[in-house]
Amino acid sequence: MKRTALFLLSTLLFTSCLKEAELKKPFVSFTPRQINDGWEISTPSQENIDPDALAEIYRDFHADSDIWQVRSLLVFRNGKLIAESYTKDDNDITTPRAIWSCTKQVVGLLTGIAIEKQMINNVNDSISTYLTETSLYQDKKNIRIEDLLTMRSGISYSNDGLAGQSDDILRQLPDKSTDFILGRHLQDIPGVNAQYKDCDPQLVSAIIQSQCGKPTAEWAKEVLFAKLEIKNLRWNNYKDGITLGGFGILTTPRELAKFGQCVLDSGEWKRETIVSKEWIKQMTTVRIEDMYGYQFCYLWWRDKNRGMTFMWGHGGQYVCIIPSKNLIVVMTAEVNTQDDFQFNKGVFNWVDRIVQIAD
Amino acid sequence: MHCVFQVCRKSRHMTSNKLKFKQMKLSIISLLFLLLFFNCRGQGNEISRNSFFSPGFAQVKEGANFGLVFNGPAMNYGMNWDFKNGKRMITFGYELGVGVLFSKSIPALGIYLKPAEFAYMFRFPGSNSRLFIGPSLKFEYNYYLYPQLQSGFDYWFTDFSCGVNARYDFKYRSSSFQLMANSSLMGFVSRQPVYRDPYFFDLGFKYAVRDLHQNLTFASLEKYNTTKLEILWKPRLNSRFTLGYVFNYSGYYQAPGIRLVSHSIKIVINKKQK
Repeated sequence: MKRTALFLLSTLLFTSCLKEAELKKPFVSFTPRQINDGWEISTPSQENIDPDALAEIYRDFHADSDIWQVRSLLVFRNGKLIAESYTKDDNDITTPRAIWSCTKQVVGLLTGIAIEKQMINNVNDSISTYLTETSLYQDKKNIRIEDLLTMRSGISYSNDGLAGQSDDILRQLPDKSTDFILGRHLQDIPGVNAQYKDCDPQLVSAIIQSQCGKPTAEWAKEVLFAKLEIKNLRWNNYKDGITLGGFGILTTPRELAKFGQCVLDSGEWKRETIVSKEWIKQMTTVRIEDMYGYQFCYLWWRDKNRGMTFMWGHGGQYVCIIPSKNLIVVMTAEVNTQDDFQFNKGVFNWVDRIVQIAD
Repeated sequence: MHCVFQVCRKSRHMTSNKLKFKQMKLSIISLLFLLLFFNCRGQGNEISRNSFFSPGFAQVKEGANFGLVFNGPAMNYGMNWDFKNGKRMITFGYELGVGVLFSKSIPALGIYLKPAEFAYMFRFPGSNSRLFIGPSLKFEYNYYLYPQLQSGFDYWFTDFSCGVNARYDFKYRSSSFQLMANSSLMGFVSRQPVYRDPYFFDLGFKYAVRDLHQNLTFASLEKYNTTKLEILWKPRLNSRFTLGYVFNYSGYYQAPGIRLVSHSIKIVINKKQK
């Protein structure tokens, strides 16, 4: 009796284990919902994409356990939303989430608008023309706006880890973000070596803010977000009131795609020019041949092999623009996973599969 | 890409008066147990003392972790004192543990602290009863650090629990066995709320310490439970070593929920007997 009781108790205990929750929902449908957010909705068939093949891709996207982090996959063609699915929560359709470094690409667009509005003369201007703080840091006066847009300021600054300066910004340790960045030593001659870092677009945001007389985020609402019918977007300012430039935006996948559509349509949204065609061309021209295996433009990314321009944010936030197919693919993922645990391995294979079925 | 190691947290302090009141109540309960402890100690009871190691397998499922379950090895160390006579038994112990857990290769660090656990048990009615049962009080701290999730974050789950403890000792041939069960019934629980500002955060040891008792509130079974089951086998009555199996469960049921499960082998070194 005692032996049986012991055996039963032991068996019960040894089989007590925690089970992993369903990390992604099974695929049900990619038919977009009409939420009157400015996107015209269509079907894959009407836009010359095989719906069965697309459904197969979506099924795999939902089922692949290696990409447990992903949250959404949206496909736009000919300016219309043709497919969308949210792997974790259908509320993601309107819930703004961090897009991390995709913020840099928004800053790239705003730079063009600032130039068009003659708030900035041109990208060859020294930052000292706009940032009064530069008078205290004379070694930085030769940094041009173009150097900031191409990550070639030469300022010693790291995004990574506890020792990185972005960590200080995220913990809001420095009182003044611009002084903190300009106060770093110059490790390279400006305009020579490219190093991906958050401080360069942060200075671009500070420059825009110095010229528009209000936080960059507020100005952006007037000149960009409102025109793109973007309503769910939030953008954080640093504690000194300067809008974050290297990261800081929270928005939805659908709204993120509007920036992509604007670039694909050479600066237009619904036939209204938001950003000049010339700036879009300038902004998406390759300036750095190799940055993490891709090409870097004015704060925008290019993949020459795929003929693709893209936005890229930490954790796995992507807006992929394929002009040859008039196609945009948006993928978002859990924010803030680190290093190899981000959604970044084989990401563009999903884009390739969609491109292949787009006639 | 942007890669930082950050700990997301937000200061949510209780009012100091409320906290003081709760701490006072806890102090009174603790004092009562200490009085009982010394009372029993002074009556010439059988006293045994042992220390133990318990290597095992631990699992954590945090509400904040997308549904991932972290699994991995854990090792605990602790000491126990038993004071026993024919009518009652008092036990006192402490325990420390550490675990390195993984989910999809994502690492997590777990730290377990139990600075004190008391049980005051009476012999269950019956002339030959080997069952002792009675109230218990324990203080537990669970700390989990996830450096690769949420840009790095950590959480505390703390409980000061009153519960029930039961122990059944019996002999089988030349061996002796001990079955022990403990479950919390009510107490004070602190579960660090999820704070997921995706951009700004606090970081540093002082923040981790600050969150030890964050939002400490009274709770009972509908909100949390900690349960421990233990089977010990002593090969011979005078053996210095006792082997056993321990199952631990802790659950906090309100968002952000947490479930902790561990299965361990317990190796007890019986140090001294009077």
